[in-house]
Amino acid sequence: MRSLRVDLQAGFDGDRVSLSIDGREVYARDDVRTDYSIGLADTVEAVVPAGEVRITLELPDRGLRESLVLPDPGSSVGFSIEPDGRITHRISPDTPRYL
Amino acid sequence: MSTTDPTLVTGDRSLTQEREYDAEEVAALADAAVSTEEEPQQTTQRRTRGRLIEGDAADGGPAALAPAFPLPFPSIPITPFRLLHRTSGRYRGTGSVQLELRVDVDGRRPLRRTSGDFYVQSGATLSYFGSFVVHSPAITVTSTHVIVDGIGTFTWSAAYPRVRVSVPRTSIFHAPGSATVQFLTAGGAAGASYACGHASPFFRTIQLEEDKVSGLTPFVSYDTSALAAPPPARSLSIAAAYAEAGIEIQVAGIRNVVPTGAIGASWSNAELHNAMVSNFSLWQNIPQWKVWLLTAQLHDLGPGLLGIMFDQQGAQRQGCAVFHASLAGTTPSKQRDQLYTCVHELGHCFNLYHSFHKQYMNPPQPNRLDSLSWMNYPWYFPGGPSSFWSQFPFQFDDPELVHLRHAFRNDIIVGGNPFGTGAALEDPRAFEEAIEDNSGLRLELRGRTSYLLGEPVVPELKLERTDLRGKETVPHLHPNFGFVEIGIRHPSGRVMVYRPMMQHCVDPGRTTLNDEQPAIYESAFIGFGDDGLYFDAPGLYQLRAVYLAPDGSRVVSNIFSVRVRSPVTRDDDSVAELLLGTEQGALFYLMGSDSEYLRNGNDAIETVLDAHGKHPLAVYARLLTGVNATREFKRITPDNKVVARAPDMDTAIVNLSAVVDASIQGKGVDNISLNFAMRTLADAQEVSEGPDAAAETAKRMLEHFRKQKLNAGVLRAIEAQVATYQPGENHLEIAERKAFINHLDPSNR
Repeated sequence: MRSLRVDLQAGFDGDRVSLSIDGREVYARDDVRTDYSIGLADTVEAVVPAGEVRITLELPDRGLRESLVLPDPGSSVGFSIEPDGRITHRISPDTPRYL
Repeated sequence: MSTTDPTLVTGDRSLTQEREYDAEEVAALADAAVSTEEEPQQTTQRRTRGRLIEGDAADGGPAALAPAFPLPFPSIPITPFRLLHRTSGRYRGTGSVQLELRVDVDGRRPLRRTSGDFYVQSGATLSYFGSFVVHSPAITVTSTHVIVDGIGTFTWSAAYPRVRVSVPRTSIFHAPGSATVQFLTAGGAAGASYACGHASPFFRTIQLEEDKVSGLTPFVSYDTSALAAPPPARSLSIAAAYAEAGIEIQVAGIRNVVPTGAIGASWSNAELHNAMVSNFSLWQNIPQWKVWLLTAQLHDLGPGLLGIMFDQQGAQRQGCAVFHASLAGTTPSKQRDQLYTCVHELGHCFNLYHSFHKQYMNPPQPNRLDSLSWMNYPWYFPGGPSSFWSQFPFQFDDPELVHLRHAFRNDIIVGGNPFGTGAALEDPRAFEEAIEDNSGLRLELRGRTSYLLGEPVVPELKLERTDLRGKETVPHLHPNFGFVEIGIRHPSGRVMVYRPMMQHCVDPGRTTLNDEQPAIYESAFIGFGDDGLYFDAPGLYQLRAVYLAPDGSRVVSNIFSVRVRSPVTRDDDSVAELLLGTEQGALFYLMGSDSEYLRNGNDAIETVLDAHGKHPLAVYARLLTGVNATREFKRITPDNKVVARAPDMDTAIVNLSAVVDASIQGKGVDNISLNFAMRTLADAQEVSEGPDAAAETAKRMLEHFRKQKLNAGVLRAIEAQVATYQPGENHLEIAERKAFINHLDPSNR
């Protein structure tokens, strides 16, 4: 087992957010909102099995859903919602830094 | 309050003679493609012909332009051996309308702009009026003057939108010359003119107070040549980095040392905000050119957070912190990170967003992922952090520089518009915090902070003296009388000024606030007015009031937040639906009416009483119904006869008694409305049941309010009210009873 960090970054605007890893919901919260002084809305830490994992982010009220397979669960991933509604992600091998 | 356009000529302003100059055209420059960001008002880029300024000996002249604007410099007239003051900088006027002017035509990274902020002296208060900027002026240089001329963008609709600034070129052996600012129509007709003395070579000046957690060593300076970086090499402190942008940072206050034991090593945003309020000796919850930086060990978000502008409540952006869990160290790399983080966080305090978040600003701007700026993340830069650092010139990018130097005052001032937002109240002139307030008065908005959707929003206004010698005031605080205005920021960001459905014209009268009466109070239903319903959706609303004192002072209140909660139950939903209508709003404003035009509203109110009588909000329907029942209602028939519906005191007493019972149990209306309801009930009882019943209600009122921890002055006023109701004695003469019935004025309750 290893730990995985998922950061909810830019574009969250009081949204209901659900995050699942390999089909299991690990995070569900209302009113998720980005703090643009650091560009972070929330952080999710999860313990996941070794090997690749499937991460699914969903904003049901906006009809947005993004799923990706992360080959290295030791890394972290940051999700952002673009102004046009696309969900983008940024995979980082290190613990992300903010300022 | 003054709302006069300061570009207009008015009698009380000293006019300054505008000279005509024979400018020598030196060169025409295509306007540099510097877009304006973080300045939401600037939506268009005009390309005009500009003119090159003559060299500035003190700063190396046009050569200093080259790095930022690699433009041709032909035919520069040379003025031999004239060491001249730099024209760029800040100028300030005096008088009842004061202009702070910024001229940006030479020196380091000149942006070829001029901008300014107007301040208005009103009575004993000085208030911000509005701002303007000229983005693409023609710049003319003669041997004696620099003239900057162009169409400005204003925060208000200026009658004279063309701005011509003329600054004499003076030797460094003499005092810098004053700028003359002439406002004109596009066609050239002259408006107001202002003389502004030279104030500073910097465009803005801010005071920085730095505190630290004990045991930590705050950043001092970094030598940019310590690691690979573009030239020129120099030693940069925080102040030096901002000085290069034209912003003067003055270190202020005494450095407080926060003991580690009190909070622990890790800080939350709430703890940081609390520490700021406690330790920032210059802190006030108002816009001001003062900012706080704390050097701390660690944020609750962990060592990955290097710094944060944590202040996003009240007057925002006043404080930031840097965290040494990751930044501490004396190696060049650590020192560089400390410098970068400090300048970056203070950039947020000036309302700058990250380079890669510009599209999320309000209004949005294109992201600049490849920006070599203090506001980027080096690790997001294309090519990674090593690529960033090898090219980073230790500066803000050009659009950020435009913001720092020329943004409208509220878009940048610390404590101004919310982070990332350029929005302002609908009429910024009416709701700006006074820069100086010697009015001797304080206005407070207060009361309940949470309402259920559909519930009448009734804030309380309190006007108190701060001048212990006593202060004469107008006694009317209700917005109906025009001496108080209330601004409402809707959760959507839309901003409205509350406009009463009817403006009451009264002899303002006077009352004195003194030891006997240190404050006056009023509650005001502001849920409905000329613009309809003001609280028609769940969410957080922000209110701010301004009171116009007899001496002309504008006394601005605190910002008061009111949350309108979403309906939870089906009953909540139904009642909200029934109460949220324009006719119902009008009925609440009028405290009831039999008007045919409000029949649907009255039907909805009746439905609330009949079908939802146990719902908490039914108390408002009862108050409205009870008060209306005490009055007769006259209407004119189609055949021009006046028909009156007689007062129905039984209905009044039943409904008002229910309001009183619920409110005394804390399930009804606010105290001021309860006082009104109980006096109305007592009057109705006196008319219908006799003075003993009225006296009993008055006695109950006194007993209730004596338990409320009211201040002595308020309690004395209630005791005086109660004293008029005595068993066996009619409180109202017969004529007064009729007057009471006919003239119950909801705005006077």
